[in-house]
Amino acid sequence: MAGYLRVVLRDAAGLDVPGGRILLDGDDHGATPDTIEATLGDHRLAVTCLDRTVEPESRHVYVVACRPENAPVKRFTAA
Amino acid sequence: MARAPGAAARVGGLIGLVAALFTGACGLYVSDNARLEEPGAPPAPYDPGQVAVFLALSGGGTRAAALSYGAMTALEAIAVPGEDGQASTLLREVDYISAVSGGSFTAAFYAHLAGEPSRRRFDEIVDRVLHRNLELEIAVRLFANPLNWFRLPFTAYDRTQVAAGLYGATIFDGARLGDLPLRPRLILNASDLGTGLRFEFSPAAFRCLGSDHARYPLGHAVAASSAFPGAFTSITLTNHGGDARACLAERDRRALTPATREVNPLRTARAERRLQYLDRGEARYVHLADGGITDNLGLDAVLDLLSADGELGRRINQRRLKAVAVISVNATPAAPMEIGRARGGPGVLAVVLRAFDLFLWDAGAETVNDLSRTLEEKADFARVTGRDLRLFFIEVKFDDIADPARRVALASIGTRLGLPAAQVDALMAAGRELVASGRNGRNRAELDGLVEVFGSLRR
Repeated sequence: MAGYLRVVLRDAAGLDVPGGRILLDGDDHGATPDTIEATLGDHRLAVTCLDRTVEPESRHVYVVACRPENAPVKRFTAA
Repeated sequence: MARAPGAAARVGGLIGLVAALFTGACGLYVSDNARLEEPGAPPAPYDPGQVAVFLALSGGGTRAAALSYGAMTALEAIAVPGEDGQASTLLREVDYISAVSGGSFTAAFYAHLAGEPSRRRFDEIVDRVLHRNLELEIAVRLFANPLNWFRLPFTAYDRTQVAAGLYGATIFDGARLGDLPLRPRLILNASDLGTGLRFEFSPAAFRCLGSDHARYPLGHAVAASSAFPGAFTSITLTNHGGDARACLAERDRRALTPATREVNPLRTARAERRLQYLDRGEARYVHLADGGITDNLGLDAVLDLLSADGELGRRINQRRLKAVAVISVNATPAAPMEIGRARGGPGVLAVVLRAFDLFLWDAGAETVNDLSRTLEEKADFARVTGRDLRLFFIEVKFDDIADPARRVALASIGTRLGLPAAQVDALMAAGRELVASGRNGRNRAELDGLVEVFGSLRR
């Protein structure tokens, strides 16, 4: 069984910022906005974006089994 | 009768000599893995490009080695467009070869020649492995050398060490793991008797032990992978003290939490294994036996790679992979019906061997189910998220031989390291045929689809 996360990066106005790197436990898992697969259990999720500060710096996520359509959304904000 | 003082002294001296041999030489043959003197940066992850082709060769002694060789010659006959307009074949496009036990001979022999411009020397495997009686040669080496008459009873030197030396010298030209080309990436699987988990002869696993992967003899790795319980003892590696940064990544540390254990005990167990290697008090030595004990098909490696935090899983998340193909050559014996024909039951040894076959059969079926489910999940994930990803599964197995008599005849061939030439030739022929005809022709459709992917990406 797998779990899924939808990772989005938005600016202060709420507009999507494409191309933020998705780091799951420090490993590169693609770019925002996207739905990624993650192993079940605890992880540390972060998004980095060139020349911009991203909040929160990282977040703890607990992944449970779900369908990719129902992936919980994890939001990050770029300054 | 009174014994002369000189005789007593001689007896005492002999006992002393034996004791010295026993105590002094016990550690001589424990392991052959050297300490990693300058760890340097961890090796970069292997990059398979847009299409990852994974070939898994199962265990099963010479039966598996011959079936694997037959299947690989069929893959070599399938033309695909290569890079830069060059002609290539499906076998040359294989990125990973994962092998267990008997399959390790074929995989390692191919991999150690794969760097050569001409791969015709691959055919030499017929004479250097398949048509040889390795069991007999090991026995001759054991007892023909007078030195062995002393070190066998009194040291840790045993038939597994003899086998490892024989394989290294007469099959693999003394090659070490560092001599292997980067592509295909050879994954030789053994079983860690301490942790009960799969052990992969990879640079990462050796770094966990503080050991130099490049200097480890290929023949020893194959001997560990094929150290069939009952026939061989284990191969031992010394844990020189692992590098925690290389051994325990952040994803592993997160895997050790109670919350993760609750939903994903396998992830936790794998991280715990690596953690155990870091504790030299508990794991001073790693004792390795036949890879078939933990995974006889060689498919656990692809399940690890495809897992979301594995090398291929990450590339799927990154949208960098366009296709994944898994080709499984499975020489696990099917249920031999002839047992039911005889009134008398099998003897003690036959019951033990049959029990082991049945265990392998059940465990293998479960692994194939896991892989099928994983591939379905990946296909579903790709469809829902708009990823351009195609998945292929090609299976070579005795069950798919149409003629029942031929099927039973081949599947009933025992797990030996020496078979009659006629049986070896029949197994090679079956391997060649089943690549295209297996799974009631579904293999053919999968192969056509895979060739089409190569064509569209390299047009």
